[in-house]
Amino acid sequence: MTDEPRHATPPPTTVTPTFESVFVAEYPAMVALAAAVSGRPSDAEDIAAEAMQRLQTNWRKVADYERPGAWVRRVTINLALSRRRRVTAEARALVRLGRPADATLPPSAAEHEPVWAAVAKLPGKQRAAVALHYLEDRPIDEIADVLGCSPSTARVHLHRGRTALRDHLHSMDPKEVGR
Amino acid sequence: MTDHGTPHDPSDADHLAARDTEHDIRAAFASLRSNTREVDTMAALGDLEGKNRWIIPAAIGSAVAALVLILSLVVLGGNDDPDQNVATIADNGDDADGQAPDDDRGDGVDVDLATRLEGTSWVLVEGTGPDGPIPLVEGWPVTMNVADGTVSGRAACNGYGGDVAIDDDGGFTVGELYTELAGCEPAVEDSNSAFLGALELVATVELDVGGSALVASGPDVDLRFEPAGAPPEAELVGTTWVLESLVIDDVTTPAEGRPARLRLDPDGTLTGGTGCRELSGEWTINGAEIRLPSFAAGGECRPALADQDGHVVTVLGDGFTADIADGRLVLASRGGLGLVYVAAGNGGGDAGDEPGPDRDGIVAEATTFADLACGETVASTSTPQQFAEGSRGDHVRRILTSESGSCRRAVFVLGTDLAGEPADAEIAGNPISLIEGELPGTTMTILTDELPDGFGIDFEAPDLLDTSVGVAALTQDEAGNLQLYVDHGGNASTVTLLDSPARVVVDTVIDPTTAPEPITGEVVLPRPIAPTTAGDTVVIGGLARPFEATGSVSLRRAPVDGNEPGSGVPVEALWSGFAVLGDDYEGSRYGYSTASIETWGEFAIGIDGLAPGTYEILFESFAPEESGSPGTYATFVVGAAPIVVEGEGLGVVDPDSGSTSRLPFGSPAGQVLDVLDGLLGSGERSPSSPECPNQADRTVIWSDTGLQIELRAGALIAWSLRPGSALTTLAGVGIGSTRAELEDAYVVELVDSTLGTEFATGTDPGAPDAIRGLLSGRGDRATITDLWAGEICAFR
Repeated sequence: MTDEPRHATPPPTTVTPTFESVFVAEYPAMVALAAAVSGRPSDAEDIAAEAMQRLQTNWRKVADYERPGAWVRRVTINLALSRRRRVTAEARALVRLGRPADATLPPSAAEHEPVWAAVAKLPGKQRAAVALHYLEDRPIDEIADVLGCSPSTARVHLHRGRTALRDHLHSMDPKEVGR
Repeated sequence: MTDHGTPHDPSDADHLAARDTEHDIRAAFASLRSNTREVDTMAALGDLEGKNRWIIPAAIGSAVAALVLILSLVVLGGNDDPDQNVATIADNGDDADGQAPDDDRGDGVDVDLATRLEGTSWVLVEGTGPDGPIPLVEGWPVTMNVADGTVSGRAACNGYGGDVAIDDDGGFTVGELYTELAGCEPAVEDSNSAFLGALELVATVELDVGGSALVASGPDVDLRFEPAGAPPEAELVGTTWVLESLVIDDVTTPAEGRPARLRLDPDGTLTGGTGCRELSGEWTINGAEIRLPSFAAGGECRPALADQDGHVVTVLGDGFTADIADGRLVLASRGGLGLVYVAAGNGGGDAGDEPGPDRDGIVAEATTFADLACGETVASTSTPQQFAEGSRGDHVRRILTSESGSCRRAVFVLGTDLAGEPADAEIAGNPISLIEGELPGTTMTILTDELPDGFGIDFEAPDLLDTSVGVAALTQDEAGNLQLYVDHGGNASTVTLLDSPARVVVDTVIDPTTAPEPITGEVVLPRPIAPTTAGDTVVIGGLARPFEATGSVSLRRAPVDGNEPGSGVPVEALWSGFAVLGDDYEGSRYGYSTASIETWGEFAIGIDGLAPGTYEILFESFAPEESGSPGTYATFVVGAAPIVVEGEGLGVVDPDSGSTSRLPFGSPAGQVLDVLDGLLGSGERSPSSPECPNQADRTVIWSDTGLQIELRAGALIAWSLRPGSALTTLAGVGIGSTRAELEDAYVVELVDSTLGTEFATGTDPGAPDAIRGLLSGRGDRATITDLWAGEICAFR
């Protein structure tokens, strides 16, 4: 009797995303997220690029994360929130340098302006939670992961953000909304 | 105040508006998502390395404005679009057709049933729905209140409400139901959906004699309720309660932080706190529950109190039942969460109008900037006994004052001396809790004579989203004291002084949120800028404040003696920068004479590619708002690169020994390039012109240094200096040297040629080791404009 040669089980194939692949996959989403959270579409690409640059800088570390996308979303949100505060000073710097602001992203349609005005009134984390919910349909667990909080806290942020958003819109002149 | 109506009873118009707003919101986000799909991702990827990212984005923090939490119920309905994620329970469109009231309902049905049910509140004790028994989850009661033609309550997880029609025959027809959107654990959600699914099928109700039970029935539905107790309104309202403990599934934990009060006033307003944040809002009674249709929480919490804060907000925000026994107010909410309060004055801490000490001994209610009038000084009268046993702040006292004429600054002192003199504070290894919320930036002065060796700081701000933030910079002031600068971005944070004891004075608490006028920012460059040599990176480290500083930094040639700062010629610099604890931005270098930077506490800026000379760096407008700050400037020197040019070739000077190693003409190209690239950075290679008389096959240029060499057949054959180069011969002669300086160092022969006034060192103009060049004229003050040696490519 001859023993049949045993074939070793091949090792599982592991696919490690490259920075470039993550960039291509996530960059447009980060632009949208940055626009929603910062309230400044003209800054969105700059913020997204900054987040991606950080991702590249930290790639060796982040590549091992289960969800690099959550990391870069967190950075994007932080940068977007920070950008809201520094925008005045930066505008002056741009003038001094004679550097035009990047503005390839089309401005929001006029009919959506009331929504963005209402979004802009939300506190930062609520704004971020709302953006992750409406833009990306992220479940609560993932929103919590991005925001760095517990799911219950994320749920509260989202709930209150949506509630406040609707309250803001309800308080507007009906003619301003959705028109 | 009692309100048996349902405050969230929407009209049809409200339903329609809710649907419209949700549609508008989704449409706006969908439009944004669609637009951003058009961005040029590949171009952005390609630009990543080279894009002009001259901003140093190290500033991350949270908004300093008080976080307002609106806890109004979400009341939505009537939406047919499944994508709109609106919690709608389908209209009971079948009405009661075919579900005629049971003729055998019995004597319990009273012709005045609607009246008897008005204002009643019930708790479901058992029930069956179309899918079987309704699961009841402990801690997640199912309630039902009947009032004003509506039915409302808590369906385990979510609040609900809707119209109800009750007829004299016991008919009980529930209209369209609306509900909150909060999610719960699966078992609770199962209970929630099972009950609501059954409720909408209820066709009749029976009230037991005496009102001890309510039975609601319908096809496949049988629900049994028992009366829910009403809140003890008389005792509850108008009393100030102080939080004693938190309850989770019958397990209690003591409250922490400063006394967290709760007060419901008869006018329907609520005030209180969580132990770290202040609360205000409105309350109403809905059946057995007290609800807060809206309330706000202002401020921030440090991490240690975040859980308690969340617990209090959750219980109050979700609605709660109240029970008072033995002087204790017990609030019970969903999920086994509860709060236990004691009436103020019953050992619950200082609950009077006067501000009391924090349990940690640092912050009391009056120590917020909002409580301070301009110029007012608030001094603590705390005594050691007032601090709870085991607290961290036994030796902490506070003196808080606003700056005269301004409310922007405050000082508080850690120590035992209420007069303000710091005393030894036993803070070894103990956290110092910074004031929360309103105070994004804090500077502590640490007296150096008390600091032991190995003193260190540890900073943590786990609430912040970005791990790169949390800068704590340690610098030295003019008096030699160490200064610890902490920016916690408005979030709670904890600073731990390690290996202390130390005497710590906390001062210069800057509060931009209440600043009546822009704050003047400043940049502190704690150390002279170290001199460097050409080819090296000039590193300029400093501390920017207030907490988040944005401004411009520019580079100029140092002004001529006597001239104003900033009057020198602008110099284009290759900027880079990095935050001390943040991300490294060394990969980004941009050529501007002025750059905009944003920094957060301590920073370092790198400048590359500077030619030898004296420079001036200016920080301007370094403030969160335009302040007219005169700016900070400093000069620094970039010395000549350690390379000398000689008639025989090139030399490399050891800066330590002063000795020179040589790269004579004929040296292998590989060796020459290794040395020069290592010292000056990579030179730009290009083929030489085939028409060059020297038949060089390659030219290498180091633009920043102004050095060019010629290579032929793999060997060095010539060097030349370009205008502006700071390289010199060993004797110090270089571009810009005068004829007098040249002739002091060398024997020189001058020749007028087609190139101009040409010179060569030595007595033999044709000698291969002569240094040659051009002068701007023949006078003693004529200067060298070009300098070379070896076989250069020159067309005469």
